[in-house]
Amino acid sequence: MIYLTLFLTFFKIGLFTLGGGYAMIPLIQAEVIDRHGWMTLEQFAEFVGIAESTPGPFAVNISTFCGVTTAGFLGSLCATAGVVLPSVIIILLIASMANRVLNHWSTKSALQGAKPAVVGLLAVAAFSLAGHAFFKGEGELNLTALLLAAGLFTLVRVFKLGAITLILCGAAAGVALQLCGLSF
Amino acid sequence: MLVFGKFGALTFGGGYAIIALMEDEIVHRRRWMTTDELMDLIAIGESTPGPIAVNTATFVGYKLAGIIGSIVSVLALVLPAWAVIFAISGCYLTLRDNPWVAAALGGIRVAAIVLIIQACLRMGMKLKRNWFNGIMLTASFYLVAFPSVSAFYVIMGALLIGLLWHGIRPRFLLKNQEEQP
Repeated sequence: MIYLTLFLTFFKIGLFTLGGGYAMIPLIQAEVIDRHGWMTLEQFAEFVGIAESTPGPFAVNISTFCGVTTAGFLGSLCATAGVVLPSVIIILLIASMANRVLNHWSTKSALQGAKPAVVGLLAVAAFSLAGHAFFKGEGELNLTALLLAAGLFTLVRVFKLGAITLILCGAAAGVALQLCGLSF
Repeated sequence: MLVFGKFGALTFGGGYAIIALMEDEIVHRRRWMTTDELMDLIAIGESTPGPIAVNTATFVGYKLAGIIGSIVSVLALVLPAWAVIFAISGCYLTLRDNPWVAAALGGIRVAAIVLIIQACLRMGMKLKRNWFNGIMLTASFYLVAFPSVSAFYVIMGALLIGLLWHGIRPRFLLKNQEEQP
């Protein structure tokens, strides 16, 4: 039952995302790419860029996309509902006593443990995406992609470019490189 | 409550971009709550599971108009995002084979990797530099990268370790100290 699987998978992703947005990337990679094969790593990287340049929360964008591509209209509804529901349920459950629950020592200390782990997980995701983009097949270095990444990284650091500008720069550079006959 | 539709439709880039807009609209224009009140809700949105924008929207909706309010604000936040992706996903799959589109997507892919690295550095910088965080970070990296343990188990384990180390241990030590003299 693909609809149920989509719903449950994204429910799980929504439930375990601590810290929002990008913290979700490792979880999506584990479920959507490694376990179910709904997307390739390459498509996933493209989609992170697309999600950044389309309106709305990243989580909603990516769940909708996975839903549509695997099971059409209904699929996208199930996936999106799945990713949003844990938030809504948890917030409504604790709404009346939120401060008491969140200031309780057990909640605080558990979150303190999760924070560094989330960074570690995101680093793995960054490495695997980078490894895939910078090396072609037989460990051959993809110099064009590496230089482009270094260039974009400098732009972000020095000029503090916003995410959308960066994505547009990346797209423009991709087309420009294609014009020069360099593909990657 | 239609206001949340605007947040959903206008906020490119997710998460914190949405929150900045929320503040402008809710606090300054509509005067539904003060900045401090909204800040409290955002802090809660950050420490509960799920996307921050969705958490905060649920909470703001609940505070303003109860359960119905929260459902309306979440729907309004999610619908535009859902509709846009639904619309473009069809084109994406057909256009992907066009060499020019593929080239642009290749560039986007590299840019996205830069964004993820950037997010990782930013989150890393926010951590306190101490042994506990260093070990947790390295251990979670190693477990997922090499024996490829699922990210879900790593997060569950990290929550448990946090509870034991930061929660139970100090309380246990305190109790022992009290008993000794």
